[in-house]
Amino acid sequence: MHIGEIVREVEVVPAAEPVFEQPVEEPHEVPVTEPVLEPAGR
Amino acid sequence: MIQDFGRDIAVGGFRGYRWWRAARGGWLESPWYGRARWDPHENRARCLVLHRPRRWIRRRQPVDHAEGPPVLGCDCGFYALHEPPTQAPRETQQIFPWQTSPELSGRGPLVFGVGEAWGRVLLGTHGWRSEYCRAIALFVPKDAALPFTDEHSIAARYQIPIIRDLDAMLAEWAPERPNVLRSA
Repeated sequence: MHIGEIVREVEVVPAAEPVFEQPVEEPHEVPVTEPVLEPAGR
Repeated sequence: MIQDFGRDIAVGGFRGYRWWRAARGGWLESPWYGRARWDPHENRARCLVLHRPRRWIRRRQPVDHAEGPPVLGCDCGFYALHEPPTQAPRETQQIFPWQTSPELSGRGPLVFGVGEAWGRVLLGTHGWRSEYCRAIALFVPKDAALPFTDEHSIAARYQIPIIRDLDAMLAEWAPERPNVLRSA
């Protein structure tokens, strides 16, 4: 075949197969409460 | 003098139009030079070119260039075109047999389709030469008359679509036209 004038040289890297990741559950937010200090001496 | 273009990097395969010969057992072969059998998954070019003044002849044994195929100063590599070929006069086809209308695919042993290239690719204004190539789609009309095999055997062996309508194949599998003049 005649492909005409060569104008570029390219290194073609095959595209990787798509990887389907398992969905990751978002961690539930744990409500942060202020520590309650028990009155001493009880 | 051989021009040094540097080497760009691209991800994904380059598509191009080309011909194969449909052989017995559903195998595809290189159509004109070498009659090499094509693996369904990966084919690496080897140089068959023995240069002589004014012409080249085929080597008895393929060789590997030290820098790997295709080489700028040689004619080796898998070939494909950016656009489908147009029918040339018969006397021209004797010299350039690939200048045959894709409409004639499957009317004899030759089948027209799309190849995908990767590895080292030399990009020309009308097509490319590549280090690796595989067939990814073929056009074989419903009333094809393949003499040595049938399209079902090819599809089973290569796991590629056999498309009955040329326009449909061109619409779905057309090469993305590379910006060949970007660094010219």
